[in-house]
Amino acid sequence: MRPPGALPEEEFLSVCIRCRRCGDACPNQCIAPYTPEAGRRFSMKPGSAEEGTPVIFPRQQACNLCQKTPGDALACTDACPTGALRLVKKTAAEIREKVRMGVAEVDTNLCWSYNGSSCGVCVKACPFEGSALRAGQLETPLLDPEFCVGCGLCERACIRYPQAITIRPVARGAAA
Amino acid sequence: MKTATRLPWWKRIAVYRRAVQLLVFAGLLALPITARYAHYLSARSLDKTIDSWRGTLPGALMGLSDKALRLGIPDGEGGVATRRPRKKLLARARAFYGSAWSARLFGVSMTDLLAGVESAAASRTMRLVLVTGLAIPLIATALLGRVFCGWICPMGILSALARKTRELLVFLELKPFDLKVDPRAKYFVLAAGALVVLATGLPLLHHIYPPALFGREAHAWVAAVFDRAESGRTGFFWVGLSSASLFLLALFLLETAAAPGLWCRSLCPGGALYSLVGRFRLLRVKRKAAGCVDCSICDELCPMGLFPMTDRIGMECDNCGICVDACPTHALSYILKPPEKRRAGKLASAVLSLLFLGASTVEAHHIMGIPHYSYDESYPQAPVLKLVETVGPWEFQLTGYPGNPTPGVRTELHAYAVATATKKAFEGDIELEVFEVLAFGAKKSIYGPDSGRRDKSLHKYFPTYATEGNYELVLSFMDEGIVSTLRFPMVVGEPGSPWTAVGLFAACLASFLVLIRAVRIKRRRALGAEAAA
Repeated sequence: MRPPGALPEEEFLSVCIRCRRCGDACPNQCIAPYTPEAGRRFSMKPGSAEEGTPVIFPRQQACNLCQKTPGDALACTDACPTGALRLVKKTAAEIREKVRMGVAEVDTNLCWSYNGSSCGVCVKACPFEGSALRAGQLETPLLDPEFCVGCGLCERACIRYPQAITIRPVARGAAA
Repeated sequence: MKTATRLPWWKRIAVYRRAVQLLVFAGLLALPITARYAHYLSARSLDKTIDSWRGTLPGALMGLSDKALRLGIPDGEGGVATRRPRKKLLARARAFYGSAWSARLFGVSMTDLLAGVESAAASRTMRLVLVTGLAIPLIATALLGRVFCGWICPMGILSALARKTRELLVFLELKPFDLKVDPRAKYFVLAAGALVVLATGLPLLHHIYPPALFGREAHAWVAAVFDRAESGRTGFFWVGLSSASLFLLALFLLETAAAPGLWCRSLCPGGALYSLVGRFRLLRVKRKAAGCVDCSICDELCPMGLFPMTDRIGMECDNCGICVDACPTHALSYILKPPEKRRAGKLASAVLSLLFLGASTVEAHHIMGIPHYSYDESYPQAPVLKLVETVGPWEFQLTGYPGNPTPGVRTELHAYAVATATKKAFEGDIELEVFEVLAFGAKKSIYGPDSGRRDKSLHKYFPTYATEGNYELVLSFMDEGIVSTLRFPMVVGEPGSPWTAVGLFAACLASFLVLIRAVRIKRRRALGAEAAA
């Protein structure tokens, strides 16, 4: 999946100059260049146009929306020299408006909380706890897709293998 | 040919130019390392990493960045005298990142002109961020000419290295070719590239543009060093050959054996663009006709194939100063010559129109902060594996921990299948067999077939990989009477490539042959000198 503030996929591919600056700027080092080696562990292969473009594999390292990082904008969007990642200020409203990397999806077959053991790790990890992800009975994750920005912190936090909560990227053809 | 009177080193432009080029080269590596430093610092794991990597390359690099970035900032944060001033350091470290393709230096964003043209042409829009990043290179090029090519571009070092290797070839009496390609070819490369970019809507020139490639390789190398270190491997490693390094290697060999300076003089699309922008530059090389003795040393030495002796320099001069250094009578020197008025007007309007081409406004927003809960630390974690494949209605997932296992240690793999439409889990048996992939595609079964341990809808397997290498995980299952198999690749440790050994052997052999030939030539020349005496 693309870093926050990314333009629609087709436009993104034409604007991005594959310069690696967003990855350098990311305080969480979650943005990697999309190479066959990087994608192999997740059964993904970049198309020829996608090679070298920035990508986030939430299971490996998720976007923490630059929380606890100085600066008033998301670092990668501030770093992008071409505007392929639009500048996103660190306000709840602007993040909700401009960031939509993907949408979380809960697999109730796997989730501990849906199978009788209270867990709730994903709810605690969610930066929009209470709106995007709420805890139901036995801390079952209740998702409101409207408020989910797709940061992937829930997937990164999930203690189940395979993850019971995963991010489905919004743009088809995009990575992750 | 007259020999040039050699200037003392501090008066030679070449010394300063090499120094700048080497500084840029070091910077290409330093920038991604600084980015890593900022990452560890913001994750509050810097001291831990420096400590645990003590005595290794990544540890040394981190320690060095720490020392360099802390220069001039006294310790003491939160009233503790010995504490690292984290916020100030972070701000400083984050003012430097990128590569020669696009970088932020001292907090100022700068983007290569070719990158700007490429992005704008591919997307057919010009965004304000792009324009602000282009401002400094554009103005610098308009005033100083192609100085990026001569003084900054890392290709300069590679070209110089190729020239030195050529000297060795000449000494070995191997007679390298000396092909000349018309310097105007690069404008065709630029025009053709721009057309392709416009037609496909994809920036493609960065695949053949050395500053972008060098930056990419530097990033890949730094990432490899620290990613390996994070998973506990701090030893020496061979870098795999990427398309970028192969392209640069091919350029180097071509320039060595066939055409010195070929790329910069005749082919580089970026060089063409910088030449065009620098056409009406202020800084240029000027010949004092009175002092010139028509020796043509400058014409022979010019790496761009220009003719300073007859004042035919034109827009392609990169102000490298080789001719200025070499001139035996010091008839050549840099001058600041303001362009004629009409030209100045054209230049100003060109710069301005580029600057404001379709610029859009930037929205300003209030800063409020976002909900509070997340990690304090974003520490690196051992990578995991998640292999996915869809078969009929089922989506199969094979997850593993760790993602890159250590040989000899028992690992865990979980297979899980869910119907994409109904979200129901697959209830049948799933068997796993693990094969070791040997040389030439041969395979050896090392685990299973095993139906694993069931945990509700999960199937758990516990294979142990004896050695580093490439493995294949084969899942087989029966659904509605049809047996299907899925094959996933698995890499254990760093198997390395047989090509590394081949390359190493070839390099040893080549240097051995060079040595023998050099010794023979030396001996023959000595004998010749003796006979002459």
